[in-house]
Amino acid sequence: MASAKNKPELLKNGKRLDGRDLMELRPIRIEAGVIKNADGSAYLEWGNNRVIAAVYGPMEAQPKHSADPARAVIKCRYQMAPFSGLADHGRTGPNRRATEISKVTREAFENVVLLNEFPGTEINVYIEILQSDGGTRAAGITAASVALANAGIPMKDMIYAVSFGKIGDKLILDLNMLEDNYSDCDMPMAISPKSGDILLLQMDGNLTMEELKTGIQQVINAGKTISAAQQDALKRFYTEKQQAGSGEGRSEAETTG
Amino acid sequence: MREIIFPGQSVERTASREGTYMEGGKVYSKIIGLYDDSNGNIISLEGAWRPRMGEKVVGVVSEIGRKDTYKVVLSTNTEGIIISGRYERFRFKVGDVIEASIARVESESSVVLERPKPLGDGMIIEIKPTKVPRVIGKGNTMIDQIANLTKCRISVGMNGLVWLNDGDLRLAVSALRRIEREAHTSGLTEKIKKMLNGE
Repeated sequence: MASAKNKPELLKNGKRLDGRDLMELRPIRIEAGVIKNADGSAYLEWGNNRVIAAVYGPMEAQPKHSADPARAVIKCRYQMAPFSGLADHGRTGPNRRATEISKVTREAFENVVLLNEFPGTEINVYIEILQSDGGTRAAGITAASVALANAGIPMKDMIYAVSFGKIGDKLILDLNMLEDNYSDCDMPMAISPKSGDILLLQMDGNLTMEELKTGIQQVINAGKTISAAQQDALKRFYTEKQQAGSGEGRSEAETTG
Repeated sequence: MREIIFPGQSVERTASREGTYMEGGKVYSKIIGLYDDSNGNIISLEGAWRPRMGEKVVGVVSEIGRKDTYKVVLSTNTEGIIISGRYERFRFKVGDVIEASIARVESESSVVLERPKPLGDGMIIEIKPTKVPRVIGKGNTMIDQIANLTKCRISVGMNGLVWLNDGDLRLAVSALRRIEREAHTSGLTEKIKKMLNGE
């Protein structure tokens, strides 16, 4: 945040530190179905972020008192790997920040997953940050959305998330770690692209009303690229996997009667 | 033309309500599936098993209750119950693998089973429930072919559990895995035949 005294120069000749334009996304690459044991999974590279998301369920809710007889419950765990962080940013374990991100991620998905189809069950969403460079909650949501689709969980839409911010009076999209720490505003948003509904909006810093409106519009525009990457990952998974070897890498559960 | 459809994508025509939801008078897909725009069918590519009356299932006895009632594990989310009647009494042990059909669906997570039949020793593998129809094939062609060519005894449950015994298990399992992987491709019965004949 803007509190730092030795703030680096974030903009040079209209370009950002990593050479991007103001409204340019970092390159995104997603791969679906990377974890065989999970019902659905996705691996995402977004700039320097590396994220794995895995989905298990719907299965019987454990412990029993956490079950809702009318609908499924989503349990989400966002966690940073101990080696993921740059400096003091990424701490592992169930700390305040991870708990908060798990909660907002869960709430974003509760809006799109058709929970009433599986009463009494739980759907587990695990988001593991392997390498972080700012905007990991957005990357986590984007990856988890692919994992949920890959698990065949019925939902209204495949959501995505990206952050929006401000350096001085310049508005920027998809902040990296340095921009996140030293910019004047950082606003991650999760969007349901079909309806344009905003499912997550957190803001660190200040924006004017006008800037906020521009921000929402820019995030919705950027969504086309992100959604395309998500769909492309799933498409590749279902069209290319037939070329894999036979039966390898999958353990067989054996029982004798 | 068949193409992959994603959750939230709108569909122009639908054959059934399965795999779709309505909002504001429009129909959208709620799953990842293959959409056939000539007849409006959506075949889901992934997803949990939803029990239906009359389906054949394979399960493992997990609990013995009073008066020869049994609980059977069918999937992570579904449990079957066997109730012995006045004229037919069943005797199973915990761990027995059985084949049965669904008499009644009480809820997503609990079904009543009828006509249970013990399958005896063997091996159980799990396949994706969405791929089971392909494993069985039209008029059982696919599964009969595998059973004949590998000399295995195979029982496929709609819940995704497959029991196998005797014959060339390794070959049968790799055939099943290949069907699971290539379920969305055409000419699969021929491909599997070639594979099982060692070509």
